[in-house]
Amino acid sequence: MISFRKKYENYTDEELVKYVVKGSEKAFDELYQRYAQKMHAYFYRNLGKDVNQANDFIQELFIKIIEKGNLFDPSKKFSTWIYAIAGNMCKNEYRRIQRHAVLGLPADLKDRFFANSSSDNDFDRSVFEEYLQKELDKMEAPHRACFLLRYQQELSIKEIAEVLDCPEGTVKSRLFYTLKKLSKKLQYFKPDHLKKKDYETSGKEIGRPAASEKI
Amino acid sequence: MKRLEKRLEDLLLQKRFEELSKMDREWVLARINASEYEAMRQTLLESKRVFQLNQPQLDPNIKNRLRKRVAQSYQPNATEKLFKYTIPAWKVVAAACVIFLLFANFKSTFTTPPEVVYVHLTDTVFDTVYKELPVRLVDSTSESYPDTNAQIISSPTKRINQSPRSLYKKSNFKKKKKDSLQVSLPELNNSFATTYDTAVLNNMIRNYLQSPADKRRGSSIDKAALGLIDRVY
Repeated sequence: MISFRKKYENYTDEELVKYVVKGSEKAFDELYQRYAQKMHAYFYRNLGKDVNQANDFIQELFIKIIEKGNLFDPSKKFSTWIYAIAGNMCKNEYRRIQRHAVLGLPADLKDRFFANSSSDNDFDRSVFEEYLQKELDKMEAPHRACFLLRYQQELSIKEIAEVLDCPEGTVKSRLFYTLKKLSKKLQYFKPDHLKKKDYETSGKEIGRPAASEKI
Repeated sequence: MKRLEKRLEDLLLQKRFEELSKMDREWVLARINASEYEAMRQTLLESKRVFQLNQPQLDPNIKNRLRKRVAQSYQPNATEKLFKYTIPAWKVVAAACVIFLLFANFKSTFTTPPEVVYVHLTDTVFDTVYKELPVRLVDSTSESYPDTNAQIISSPTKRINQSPRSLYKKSNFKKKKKDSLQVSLPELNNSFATTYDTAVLNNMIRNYLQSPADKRRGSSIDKAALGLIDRVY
């Protein structure tokens, strides 16, 4: 069927927001398709893998866009704006629940990993994911945000700096600090999945000039 | 303060420490040791893989709820509503077709001959009688009468709008010769045209035909006119 409908898939994010503010459901559909899944994953990781909470936050996020979309400056990037809103929502949530004050270290990491020292990659990955999430939860919010925006959402350093409203150098140093800290905490998950024997016999690790930290 | 430079990040994502060139290795070792490099590389790669593989399931009902919110949040004024109203293309095409068909049908009915015949009586021998009388067409096409040029001529359709306002086109007759018979018919116009009552016209022609010969000056018209009258009326 031929029609004169607008092809919203060709529109930029910034143009779509204008139409969403004017009540276009089609424009909203397109914007939602572009961002809902990504933002949901971002909330999911930022809020301790709570799917229900991530769903609530997605809904709240898009309601803000629908109702406050007229406050968006079209000369700026929409992606920056939406991540900034999402980041602020997460910050508010952290303040509310004082999340990282109650979380403890995963003391059983080593035991659980070595107890299942088969080469089951799925298991390894699930354990890795579990402890990655715990470590991320313990991070300070800006560091966690930097890491997720860079490696989950794949934003550029410049975009992250705009989202978090800080210099690019700060973003880089946060990324370095976060990655280094995570790698220390998750050092059991090394290439080739080092087994207990390797771990016990090698306080000093392969090709490493200095001793590494242990959990 | 150390930073995760683009170069370091690229190396972490692409190469193991053993695979680094001598120059890259020196550059890396100036910042971190080999073990840290491998640990960071593994964490980075595994984290990216986990983020890609383990996508949480988004509640599909959220979208519908939000769509309703979009519709509710904006209240356009009357003018905007009018301009916002959209018509599918197929409706536009269908409407155009309907209009075209209606117009074509209207035109065809409009151009259907209303069956008006123009009667020309011409006596070229002596006098000229010229009458245009719109009547219902009984028989069409031209038909000649013996000894005269009198004819019944079916009306061409294009003459419908050219139908004379009065039955007697005086201006035309003025241009004719002086000896043309001028028959005044204004009193016949409406009643004749609408009721097809031919009595008055019939009488006039009969009176003419019965008038003295010196006034008629010609006999050929007699038969033609009478035949015409019988045929038309």
